[in-house]
Amino acid sequence: MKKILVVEDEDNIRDLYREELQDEGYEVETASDGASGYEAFLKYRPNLITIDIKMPDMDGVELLQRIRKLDKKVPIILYTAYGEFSQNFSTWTANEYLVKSSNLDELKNKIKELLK
Amino acid sequence: MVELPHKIQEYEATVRRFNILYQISRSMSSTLDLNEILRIILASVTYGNGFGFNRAFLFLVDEQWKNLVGKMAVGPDNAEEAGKIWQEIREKHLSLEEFLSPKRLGEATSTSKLDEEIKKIKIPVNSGKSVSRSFMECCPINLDLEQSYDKDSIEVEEEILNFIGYPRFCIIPLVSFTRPMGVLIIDNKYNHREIDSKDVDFLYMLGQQAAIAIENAHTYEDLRKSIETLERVNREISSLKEYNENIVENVPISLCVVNHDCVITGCNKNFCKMLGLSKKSVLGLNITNLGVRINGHSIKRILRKVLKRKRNKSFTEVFLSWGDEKSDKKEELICNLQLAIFKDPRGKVDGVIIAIDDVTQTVKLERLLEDARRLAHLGELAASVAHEIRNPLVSIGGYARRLRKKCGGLRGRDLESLDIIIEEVERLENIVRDTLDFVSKKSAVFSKINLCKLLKQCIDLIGAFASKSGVTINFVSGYGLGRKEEVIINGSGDNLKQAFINLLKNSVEASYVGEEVNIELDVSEENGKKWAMVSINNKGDIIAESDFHRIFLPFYSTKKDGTGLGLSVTKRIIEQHSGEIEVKSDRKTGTTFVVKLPVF
Repeated sequence: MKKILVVEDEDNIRDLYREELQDEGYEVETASDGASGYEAFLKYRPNLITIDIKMPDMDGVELLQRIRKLDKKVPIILYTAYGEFSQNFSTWTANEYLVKSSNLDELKNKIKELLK
Repeated sequence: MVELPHKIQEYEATVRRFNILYQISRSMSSTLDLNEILRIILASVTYGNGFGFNRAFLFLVDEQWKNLVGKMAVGPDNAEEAGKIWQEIREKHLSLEEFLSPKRLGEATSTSKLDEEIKKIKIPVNSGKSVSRSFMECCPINLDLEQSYDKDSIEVEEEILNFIGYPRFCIIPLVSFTRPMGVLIIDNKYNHREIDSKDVDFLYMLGQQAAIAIENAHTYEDLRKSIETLERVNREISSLKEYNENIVENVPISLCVVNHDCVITGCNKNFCKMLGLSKKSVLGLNITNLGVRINGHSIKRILRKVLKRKRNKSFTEVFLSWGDEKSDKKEELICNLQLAIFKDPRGKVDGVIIAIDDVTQTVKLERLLEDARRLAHLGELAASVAHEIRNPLVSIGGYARRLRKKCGGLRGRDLESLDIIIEEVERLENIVRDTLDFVSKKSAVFSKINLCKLLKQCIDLIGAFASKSGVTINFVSGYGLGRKEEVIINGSGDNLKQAFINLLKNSVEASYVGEEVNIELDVSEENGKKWAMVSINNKGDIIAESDFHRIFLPFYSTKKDGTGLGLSVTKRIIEQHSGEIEVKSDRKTGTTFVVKLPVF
């Protein structure tokens, strides 16, 4: 079973993502900020990581950079409530970018594609 | 009997002298030049066949009536010279008239030493001595210092004694109508002839003639100066007038003056330029015939009010229009307007001055700046709000969808309720997306775009939506240059698509079932530049003229569920392409959006 790590500071959204992705048949681990996200990455070694950009303390971009230092291959999806992250050069090492939406179909499709 | 020939001789001499006096008088009255008159006087008294005095000196009183100033002297410097001159006159048989001709006089008196000397002499008017007395009392004084000189007799001014250097001379006042002008001094230094009382009488008469001539010359000189002053003042006035006219012509505002009947009686070139007419054709025209209107009101009524109340009136940022109100020839500008009462020099109201300051560009710029400011402000606000709203929306919508999936038992109204939540969340998310689209400064990548092809793609994309609404979209491609489907512009395909889809969607939404949306592509040339013109027209609801500016502002929408961002995004995209977008709307032709883009 593929393991997905969801790093998201909003409790409701984190729970929603977890439940929805579990329904899709994935094993889901979660973390609520950058620092614990990094710990979870080291601990669980997930097959895919989704990261919210805007988080308190260590934000999603920093987390992405730290993970990439250790692992250049693990698929990472960055998502945000803003629409401008693709212009930020430091996010270029992510595999996908998404704008948060209540419709999770796009997210699910992207995950499916990346885990193929 | 012995006395008779003597008497006859005497009469002859008298007649001769009167004759001379007459000729002198004629000569003097022929000129108004003071110097010439002075020369005539002196020459005539020294003329051999006339009075024949050896020397003559002339003094005139100065303007302050303080001194008698030496003006001119005639006579030889010594006996030898005297002899020469007399011989010349005899040999040449010069008549008095010839003798007095300006040419000869000019030669004879210009270089004399005496003449130089006399100009240095100044005698106080009220010294009480000989010259002064003769002058003040208007009486001739005949002096023989050798014979009549004693303590009681008249004292002679030192300067005169030194200058004349001869004991017998006669001082003749020059009196014009009781007012003395100066004195004439004569002597016979070289032939020592005695100056008798008859000589004195004649000289006195001559002096009167001379004084009148001098006074005339003075009067003439004063007159000449007055005329000169007048001419100068005239020149100054006319140059001042020119200067003022220049100011009026060149002020950067349009000026015109109308009379009580609203007829244009004056205007500057800016006014003519504004109307596109020549000055000739503007003057005399009735301003109401030009169809001039202020904010849609005829200017005639406003002018009447100003004239009636005699009070100035000013308008700020009003629409000034002229030309036929209904036709395309109507012209309009935004201006600051001043209507000022025009009074003639006597203060009578003569009409109204209309000063028009075209501020169209300024106002447009201000509006642009205002838009920009609003947008910048909006951008910050929107970005922060969007983020805060999006997260809860994801939760609400996400869980609603989850509910719908999980609770298979939901039926009827319950299911509908859930769907409403899902749909409304989606709508809210769209608003957030549009807002962020609008405020984000997406840098567009420009490339060559076939505008005709792009428009067709847009029509295809919107096609399903249009047919669902029962609206047909017609596309007429441009024949502007006869090169159908070959309108190439430099731009961002994605952005332009968004712009045109927004416009098409708006048009479809504004149409009623069965109506048509017409999209037309044309190319026009303006100031040597080619422009692609895309017009999108629909019937249906029209837009009020006062809303033309507002519809492009963010969050302005007349649609029940519109975000109010579509048209402002469109406008921004068009401007990003150095293009322009305009809207026209009236009952007859419906609503037309015209997009102007520079052709590559």
